[in-house]
Amino acid sequence: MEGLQSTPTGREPGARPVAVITGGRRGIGQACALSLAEAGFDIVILDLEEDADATQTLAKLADHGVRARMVVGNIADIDHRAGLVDRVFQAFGTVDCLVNNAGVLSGTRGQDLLNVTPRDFDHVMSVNLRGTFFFTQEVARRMVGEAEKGPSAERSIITISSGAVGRARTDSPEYAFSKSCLALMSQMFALRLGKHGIRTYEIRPGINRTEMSRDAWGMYEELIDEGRFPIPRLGLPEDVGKTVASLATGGLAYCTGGHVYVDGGFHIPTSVRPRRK
Amino acid sequence: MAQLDGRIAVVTGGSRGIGATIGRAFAREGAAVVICDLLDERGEGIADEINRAGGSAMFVHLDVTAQTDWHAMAARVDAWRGGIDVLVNNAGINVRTGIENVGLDDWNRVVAVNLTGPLLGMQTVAPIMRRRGGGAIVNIASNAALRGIRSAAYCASKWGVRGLTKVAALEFAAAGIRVNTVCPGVVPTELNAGQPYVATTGAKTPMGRIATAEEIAKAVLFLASDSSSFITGMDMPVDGGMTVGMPS
Repeated sequence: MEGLQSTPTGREPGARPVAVITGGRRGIGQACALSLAEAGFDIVILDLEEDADATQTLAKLADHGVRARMVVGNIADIDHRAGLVDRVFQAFGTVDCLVNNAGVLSGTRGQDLLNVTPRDFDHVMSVNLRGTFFFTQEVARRMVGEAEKGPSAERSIITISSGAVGRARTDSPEYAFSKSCLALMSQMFALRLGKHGIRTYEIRPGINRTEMSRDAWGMYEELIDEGRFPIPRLGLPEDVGKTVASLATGGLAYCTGGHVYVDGGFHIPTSVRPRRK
Repeated sequence: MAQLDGRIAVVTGGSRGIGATIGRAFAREGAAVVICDLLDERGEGIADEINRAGGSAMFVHLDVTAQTDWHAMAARVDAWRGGIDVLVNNAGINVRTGIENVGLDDWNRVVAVNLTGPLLGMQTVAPIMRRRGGGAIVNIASNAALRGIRSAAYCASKWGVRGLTKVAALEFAAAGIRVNTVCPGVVPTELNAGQPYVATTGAKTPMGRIATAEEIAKAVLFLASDSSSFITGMDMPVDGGMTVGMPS
């Protein structure tokens, strides 16, 4: 545009890097947004609705002195993904960091392997895997385009999966399927995008105290009392947020395709319970 | 605020290569750094360099296979700063022989430095960290701890480091001590100078190049700092995606 100083990537000169967080209005997504804001990113929150949670999150982001904007949309609506990604990129002209955080559990949580329905299966897969994959594909295409126009300090795609990755279980198989496939997806994008300077990471949170897991908090407390968690507490959304900020700012600049367990050591395969203090 | 402000950090094998880079990076992030090595002159040089740059460092002669050296180091650091918050078990050696050709002396020496060294280090610092309410230990293994290579003692000792890390994570978690492993890919250092794979690995790596020591140091810094406060018992490859697969 004539008169508007613009870098080849559509970024204004001296502008902050930009991060988009799917499902960013609450829970782990909100914590990621806040940590990235603290690290100096402008923030785009992509979520289903601009409710009270979203308003509060945007206000908290503004307190960090960065620009924050909400884009309302659904990653599962893949027929409209190009338009959705347009709106995300238009918010601040580019995207340097994508955080794939949006995810759902099935309506009938904890369904036994023998009873899970196609409806539950399709719902979880449509958001967690199909939606995340095609949204990531669309963002990645544009990131590659921008990388060819000019260098950026750091570009990354960070996928929040789960400690459920790769673990056989007898309940909620659809959730474990979806998250296990995200692990492979993150590795595939690592192979494809490495030469464009775009790194991918996967974060496997343990058991976190969020709204999504509210009905299981009591059960989790029992696990802690049994000494099942090496670090004897539940995860907090900000544990994941701090890790995302480190990854997005190049703290692990020669890592790509890898995963980070943010779970207090819950993933360590063991038959021995950690000794309590 | 810097990421290691007020922390006291011990780095073994700190006189050169990845260890020296970790020491410098920690000092820049506010840590008081103890450079430990067998190479006294070079270690003193690194400590001087850090101090001249406005950081805080001390060199201590340490043979990681000698329990008495570990105890003497801990006593000196205690007198210097009153404790230890971070230990990086970085010292390592390599003898490039397979199972049929490895001599027992070589095998024992590699296992002593690469595996027994971290054990002695953790035995030494755990009570100190427990007394201080916690700490962070980072054990440097290798990409060879995630696959097989043709150096029997090196490969086996580095797999051992991963196992020892998981035991330590379980044993020390309740004391607030986190223990993690970093598995670097190829970094050009004196240890691998002249090895043909240093020139050829980059092209076979998704990121299209080998690592710099600085990039390994950043990952170690992450695991040593509060940014990773809920992460323990984990293996972190820092290898440009090499263990993920081959790029297209």
